Amino acid sequence: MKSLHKIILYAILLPLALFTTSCNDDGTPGVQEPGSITLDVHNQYNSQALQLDNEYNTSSGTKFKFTQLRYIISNVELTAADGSKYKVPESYYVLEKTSAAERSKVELTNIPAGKYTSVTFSVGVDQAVNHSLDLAAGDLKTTSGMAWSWNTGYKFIVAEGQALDPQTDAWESITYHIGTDANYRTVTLALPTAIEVEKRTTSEVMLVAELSKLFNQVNILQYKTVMSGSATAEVATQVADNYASMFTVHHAHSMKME
Amino acid sequence: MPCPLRYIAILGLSLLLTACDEPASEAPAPQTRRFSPAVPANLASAVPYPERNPFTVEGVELGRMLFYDPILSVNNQVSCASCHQQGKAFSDGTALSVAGVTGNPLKRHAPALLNLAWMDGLFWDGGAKDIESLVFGPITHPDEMGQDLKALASELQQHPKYPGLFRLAFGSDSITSARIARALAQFQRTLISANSRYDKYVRQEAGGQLSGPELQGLALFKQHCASCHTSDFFTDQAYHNNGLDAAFSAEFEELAFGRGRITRQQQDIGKYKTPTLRNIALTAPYMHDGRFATLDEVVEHYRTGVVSSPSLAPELKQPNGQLGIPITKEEKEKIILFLNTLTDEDFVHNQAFTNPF
Repeated sequence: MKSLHKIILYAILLPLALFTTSCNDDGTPGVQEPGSITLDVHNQYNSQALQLDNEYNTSSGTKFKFTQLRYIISNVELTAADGSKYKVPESYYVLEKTSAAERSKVELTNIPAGKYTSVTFSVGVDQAVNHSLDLAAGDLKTTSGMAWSWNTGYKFIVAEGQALDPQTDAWESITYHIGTDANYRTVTLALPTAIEVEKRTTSEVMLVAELSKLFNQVNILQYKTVMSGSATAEVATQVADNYASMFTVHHAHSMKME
Repeated sequence: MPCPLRYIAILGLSLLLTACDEPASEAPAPQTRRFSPAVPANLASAVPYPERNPFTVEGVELGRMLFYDPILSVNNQVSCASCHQQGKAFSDGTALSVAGVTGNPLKRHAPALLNLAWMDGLFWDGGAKDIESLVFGPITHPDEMGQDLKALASELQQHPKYPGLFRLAFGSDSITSARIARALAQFQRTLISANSRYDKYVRQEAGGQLSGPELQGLALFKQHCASCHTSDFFTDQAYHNNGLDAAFSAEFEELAFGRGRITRQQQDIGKYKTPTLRNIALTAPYMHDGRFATLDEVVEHYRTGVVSSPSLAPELKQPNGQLGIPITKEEKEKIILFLNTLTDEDFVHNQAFTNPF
């Protein structure tokens, strides 16, 4: 009977003990709590803020206007000063500049406290999520218009606009929808100053996407429509290489909130 | 005497389990009932499914309702079953369907739906990588169901019955396009057909008698057709150019490139996925564009109609330089007799697959 009493006692005390600790939400002294980082991606053209319907010159001298720009940033990973890495879960973001919507900021929350020196992200969607539309995570769950259902996957970038054909003096529609696993690109950028993340600090990383690079070495008047077609696969690869190299860090900083 | 220890332990446990829960606004999630659909032995030992979407009684039943419910379309008039009718082994009897919300003819023939769980590329060009992903195609295509996925989810969320059914199937009454896709995929994976007279013949079951000419047809089939229409799925799951056309237009975003449009490889232009021949007598017309009305036209094509192009299947080039399959008219008739033994009456009458409304 003695052992039975003991069991009864534990049966009461053990859950009680768990109960009293499991809801504790106070910070433990000495351990820094997670914070957040704002990724702010400025779309620029020749170092000026990108404007829709504004006339630009591509690097090959073609006159071009954007009518809409959307792209997917995913799998954000932060590298700390000690070399450890933190991958932001479910990080799939659709950034866009269209006549109806503009989104350039991404809020990374619940980031473990620490000193971070570089940021890594991908343009596009990794193969696992790209191959099963019901696995949509982050913005992909709710943003329509970026999925291809006839050829399972996502458009990693949608760049549409008009180019002036000097032969006819007419503005021609330009449609670039680049996707497929082969065009998934990962970018790692060192931060000019490390950011210090913790609960009472706000950190911001401002990136620049230099869109003048998007059509480098691409004759958009020859290839007016580039999607996942076979005839234009090499053009799509060139555009993917271009978007992989168009991002730079403008600045990064952390500020203590009082 | 009742044992007090048990009650005390349960009390303690229940404290532990509820301690940090949100206020109990919802009843606990109901238990779903997992199951494995039955598979005839000559087909496979079990039905494959993705780990994230196992079969449950509730999920399959929900998928069946969604499959037959025109609420999926933008005008609430077109369901999956509009183009995938059970009596025709879930095909539609039309070359290019006009049953969609706009009435515009589609650009490819609606394929039969059967034994999809084993297929690793769906659509004629294999562009859809799994059934869950496939269903977004017809639901959103402007000439098929023309539906916006967000609008569909919120329409179902307002429905008197669906939130409860999603709760039964997925443990939550929040309706998302992912859950719509998963339920539809579960149901479609249960559409298993392998109970034709031919199947009973290979399993040596009652009712499995094949006539002399049918058996000769089977032997001819094995000799001339089975390299692509591999038994017992009657497809090799691969892509071939079967000599229908000499050239492939780049129009409509390279639609006629077939598999080449997906892989972006020159050598795949003009290839399509080998369709299964199960229930083939019920699924006329034939080919990716429904160009042949009868099985006679199909086999005659292989006999006399194959045309050359760079990606033509080597199986259709004879050593003497002739194209197509070297068979006589008599042999053609026997092959067609055999193909008719692949009709599975149990499949097209299975009550588990019928319209639940």
